[in-house]
Amino acid sequence: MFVLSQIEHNLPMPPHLLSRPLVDAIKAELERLFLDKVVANLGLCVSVYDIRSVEGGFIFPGEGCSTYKVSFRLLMFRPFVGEVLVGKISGYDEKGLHVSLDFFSDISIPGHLMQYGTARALDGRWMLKTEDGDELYLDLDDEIRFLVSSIKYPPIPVEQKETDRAFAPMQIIGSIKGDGLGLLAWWAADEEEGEAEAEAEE
Amino acid sequence: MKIEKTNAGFLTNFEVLDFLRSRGAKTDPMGCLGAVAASECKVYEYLLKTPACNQTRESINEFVTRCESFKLTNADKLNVINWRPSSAADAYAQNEGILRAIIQIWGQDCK
Repeated sequence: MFVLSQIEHNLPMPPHLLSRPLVDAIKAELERLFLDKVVANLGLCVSVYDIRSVEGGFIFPGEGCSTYKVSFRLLMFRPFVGEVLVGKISGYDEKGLHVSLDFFSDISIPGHLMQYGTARALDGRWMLKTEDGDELYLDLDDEIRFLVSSIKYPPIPVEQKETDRAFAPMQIIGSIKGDGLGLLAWWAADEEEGEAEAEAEE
Repeated sequence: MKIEKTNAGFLTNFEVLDFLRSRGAKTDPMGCLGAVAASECKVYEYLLKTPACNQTRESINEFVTRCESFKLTNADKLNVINWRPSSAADAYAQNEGILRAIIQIWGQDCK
């Protein structure tokens, strides 16, 4: 889920930060540049983990700021394919569900990666028809456990239709086709029923 | 910008939680006005809801030593540490190897 990435960056240091200790100023500038932003193929930057080296401090002609070459490690959110995550359903459309971890919300579960027997109800909600004939709805704000199927870093679109969703630099495709996946409530209920039966037998 | 190492190490949820805690992250909405950014507090709040909120380094180290004999991959270990399955269904979501390992560990604990 969380990974460290080591990056080297030529960092211009604005003059208004020169009164602070150098490491603090560099950290503040790195946070302004990277925090809560997506770096292609690296993931979502959660925090600046540490600063490993600072070199330079040159002032180039025509510029009013000193430039440092900084090597640092960022704490990135980048789940690996096959990792199991738990999030909340934040929306749905004809393609599937939209899931949100609180700090990252560009997760989608397409219809073909849901449990066999999942269909869309008349009111637009997705539901799972079990063999017993039950209809298990996937409602908004329900907690859902999903497997990371793939992670995409789409390029910035050149043109955008009005109906398109907002551009997401990092997209996670999840799957709930598998044992133990799906709403947490589904499996918790089974567990409680099993315990009740066990108690009845005793 | 030059990427020196794409992957300089995996972190468990507990390690991230510990790191954010040491930086001063809080659940108090006003607490985010300090040294920690609002996005970091969001991650912190999410992790507080996961099993990492009451793990310790000792318990994680003990888990790693006890599951050495099960030949789990590092990704499997990471999944188990992060989500600490508490039922067969939870373990199944990971994979069957983990399920077998956990059943054996639980069996040992029951003796």
